[in-house]
Amino acid sequence: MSNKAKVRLSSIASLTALVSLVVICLSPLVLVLINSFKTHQEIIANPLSTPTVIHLENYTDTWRIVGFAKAFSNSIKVTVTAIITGCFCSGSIGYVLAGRKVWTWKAITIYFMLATTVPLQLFMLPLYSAFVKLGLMGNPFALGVVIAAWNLPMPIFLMRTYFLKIPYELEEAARIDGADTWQVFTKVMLPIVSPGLITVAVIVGLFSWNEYLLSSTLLQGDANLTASVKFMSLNGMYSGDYSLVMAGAVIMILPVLIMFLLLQKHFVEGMASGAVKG
Amino acid sequence: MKKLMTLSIALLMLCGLFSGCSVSTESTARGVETPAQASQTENEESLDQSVQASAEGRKTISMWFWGANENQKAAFQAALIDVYNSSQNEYELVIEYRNTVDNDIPVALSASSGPDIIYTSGPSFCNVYVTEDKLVDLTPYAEQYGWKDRLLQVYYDACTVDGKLYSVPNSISVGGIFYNKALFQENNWQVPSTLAEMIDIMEEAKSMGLYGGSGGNRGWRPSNDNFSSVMINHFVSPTNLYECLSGNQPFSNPEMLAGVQMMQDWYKAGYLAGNDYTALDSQEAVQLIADKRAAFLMAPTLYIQFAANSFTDNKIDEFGFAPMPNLYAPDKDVYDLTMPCSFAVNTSSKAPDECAKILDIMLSAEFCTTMTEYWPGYWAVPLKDMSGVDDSNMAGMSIKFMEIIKEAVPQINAGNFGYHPSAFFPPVTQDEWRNVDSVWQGVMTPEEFLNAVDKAFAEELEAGLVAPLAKPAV
Amino acid sequence: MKSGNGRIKTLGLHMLTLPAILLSGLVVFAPAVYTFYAAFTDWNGVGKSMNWIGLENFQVLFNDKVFWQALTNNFKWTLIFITIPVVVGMLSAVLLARRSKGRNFFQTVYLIPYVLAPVTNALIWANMIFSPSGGVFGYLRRQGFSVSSPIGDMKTALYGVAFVDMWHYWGFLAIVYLAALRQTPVDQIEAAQIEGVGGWQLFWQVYMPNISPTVKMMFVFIIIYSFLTFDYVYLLTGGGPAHATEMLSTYAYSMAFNTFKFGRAAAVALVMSFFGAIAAFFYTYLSRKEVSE
Repeated sequence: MSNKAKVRLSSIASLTALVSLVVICLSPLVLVLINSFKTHQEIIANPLSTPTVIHLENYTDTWRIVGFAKAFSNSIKVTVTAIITGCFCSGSIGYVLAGRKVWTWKAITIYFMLATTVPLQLFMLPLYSAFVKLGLMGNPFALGVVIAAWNLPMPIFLMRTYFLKIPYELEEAARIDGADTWQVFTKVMLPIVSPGLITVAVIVGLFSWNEYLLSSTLLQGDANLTASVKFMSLNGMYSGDYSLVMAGAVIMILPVLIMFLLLQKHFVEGMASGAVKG
Repeated sequence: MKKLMTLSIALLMLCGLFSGCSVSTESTARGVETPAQASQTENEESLDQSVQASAEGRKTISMWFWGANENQKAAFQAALIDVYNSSQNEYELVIEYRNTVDNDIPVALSASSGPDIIYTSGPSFCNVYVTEDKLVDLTPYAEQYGWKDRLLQVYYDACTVDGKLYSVPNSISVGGIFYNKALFQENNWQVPSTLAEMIDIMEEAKSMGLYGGSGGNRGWRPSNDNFSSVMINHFVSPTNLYECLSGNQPFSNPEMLAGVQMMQDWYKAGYLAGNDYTALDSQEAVQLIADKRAAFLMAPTLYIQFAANSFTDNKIDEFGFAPMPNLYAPDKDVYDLTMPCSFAVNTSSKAPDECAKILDIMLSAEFCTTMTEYWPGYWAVPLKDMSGVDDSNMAGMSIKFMEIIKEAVPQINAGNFGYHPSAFFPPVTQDEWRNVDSVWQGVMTPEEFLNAVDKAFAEELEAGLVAPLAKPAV
Repeated sequence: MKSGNGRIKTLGLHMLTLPAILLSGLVVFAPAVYTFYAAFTDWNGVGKSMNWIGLENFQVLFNDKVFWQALTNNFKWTLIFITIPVVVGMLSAVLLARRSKGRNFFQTVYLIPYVLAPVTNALIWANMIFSPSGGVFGYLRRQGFSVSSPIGDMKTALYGVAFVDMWHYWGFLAIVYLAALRQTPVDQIEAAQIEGVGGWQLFWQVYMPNISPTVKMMFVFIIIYSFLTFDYVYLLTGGGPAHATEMLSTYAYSMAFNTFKFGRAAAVALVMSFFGAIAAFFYTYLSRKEVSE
């Protein structure tokens, strides 16, 4: 076989592989989309058929029944809090850890490495107890802070690698000019790593938006529940209506998808420069 | 630019899929038995009223419950919330519906907080809470309101610890066999009166390509108890279970061993949906009967709430329920008993008297009537005297449910009943018993299984965690 | 040389570490200590009494068949996850690295399962696909194919659940690997290609040395998360059928909330962290030789 043919063949093979992966990734979602327009009976009869009548009311009903408007606003409160907390904490400590500027760096690094190994499910009891005593039950902002705390390690290591890339001369120059640590941090370092901050924001935000374990435990009061918790209630013991479940799934997917499409460049580029060097 | 193109191509393809489709935007009534008088706007109105009430400055009594759909919430609104709120001016009842209530309650109680009225999946869970002083002793209220005379003895006793009442049952649920009348007619099958007849029908169903029997525990492992309860209480005499639960004999006695072995045989024969058991959930298990794809479903009447979703419109007439035949007293109808859930009062509640009032409402014939009108299958209050339950407004599945219960109650009074693990076994024993699916799958022998149950039970018996039992007559 | 300026600088730096340390200390460390202490007590999770019982919880676990089943499942899960998604992710990353066209499109699509909530994904797979009643498997069954639902059969349940989690996770790995591959210096690649090195050898000799820090880091993270894995198992099978998919995390969860044996559940949690910690220390050891700044 000629070289050119070989190259073309391998190109076709690679494209086939990549496209099949696309199909595997997307087909469950397409399935959900199609079924979200069908009635419960139609879905059960044949989950693979296309709808004959498009039941838009599945969406309006699900939106109303679940109360997505309030639920999403709660999710936003929790997520924004988590993002701000996560970025601030990981940024500040990431700067210090890069270049091992303090003698405690080894202990800190080991601590946060170990913090990734801790399972979440059992820690709810002491956290719950504390929340009750402090009167924070159902408080979305408190929940956001807790979620950020649980997700500190990876953002910290990421921010550290971003700070590592900044040449030391910049910091030196700023210090010679008389800047103190805080000024160096806020006026010089932060602006440079802002793409990295966006990546961390996306990671923390993603996790917080999808979080259900902590949210279902630490939130009380129907009016305080986030979207992921309320969505779970659609599939409770008593739901018989798949059309609601499917419409609900699409409603859950859409905001994440839209945000992700808008921000994916930052996420990917951020992972490129950050996660890579470890 | 490229992204835009990809997006538009995708959209075009989607439109192609849906071409030739008409669009509907009408919101149909979702959920089940909405009584004639209740309409969507009415529910919203009463909800608005309750919002107004809290604006008027009433103190709240909180209660947690499972996740519930629209119709079920309307049921609570009509039968409980409105009734209680309108009976006085100081308090209002607020119910929170959470899917994770079974985990939320112990977490809340651990922090000495949580709702005023506690929901648990059965009185055995209450035992631990009682030993830790988390539940209010309801005996004075029982005397005040006369619950002991009102409720079926066996249910009252099951909710006591050391002679004191700590929770109240929500409903009777009796075990039996669900079947599809139309399917039976088509195949000339008769409702079986012996286990042998039942097996014959299931085998014939299998040869026709159907499931012999249905079942499923996806998403709720305690469903194991529902199926194992119906089976074991009809393979082994309830007196045997009674002796075990009173500590007079070990669970691993010959009759019980044979019964567990029989359960394994039945599972392997495909009488519990075979390999699909873990993949089907309760709703789907019932759906198989409605779809005429299985001969029987051995389950308690609380599954009627799922049946209400599956047997809709004219299918309602195909719904069939019968007591399961048994091995030891072939001429008697025996029902294994359970309660879907129970309610207790939190010691950290600031208004226990009001909570008792609410519980009293939940133990009334009126409550039973209204709840069953909306939500058949879950709320047959275990009253000794069911004559106060007025079924004139009930339709479809609600009527069928009440008929079944009314037929069962005299049998219960006559002692023809058995014991469901979730209501009558202490917690760790219950958990060990739940491993019965390991026996079914063949990874555990009946001996190992019952030995584990014995071990757990002995510890709990010593710790005083076993509730007193009424003795059966079979 | 610690001038006055130096002292202030160091103080400022220490202050900057405080937010993260305080936050993590309060929310993670304190409850962790409390729970780990509980592992040596008989606490039932509800009451106040916590009596020290030493290693008794661990002894009971040692003799518990289900515990060993769960531990084995975690090991199997780890093995599955350090092979299949890694290979698929790496393959697709390599293919994408050599492509110029459509890279963004593929990256985005592959990441979509990763950005969706676990509850959504589990729901889709359980209800729409695996269900023998209303899902694709049910439909196939009715068409006459005798397929058994992956999560219904004891032998396949673990792989069924693992498949869903892998479906959700592999795209993330692909992106990370791709990003690493793209950082490989172009001149190295070209030099090798001039010498006639292609395909497999090119990968091993040129790409791999450059991306090995990333590969190692992801390797360790996969192991740590494998011992913590909870969501998909809990949402899809809850540990069944008959403990076939029981994981340490789901076992601990049911111990704590079903039988009120919180102390023992904490002991299981300790085991989970233990294995994760081994992986973490191993990683620190491996990467100490790497370029440090």
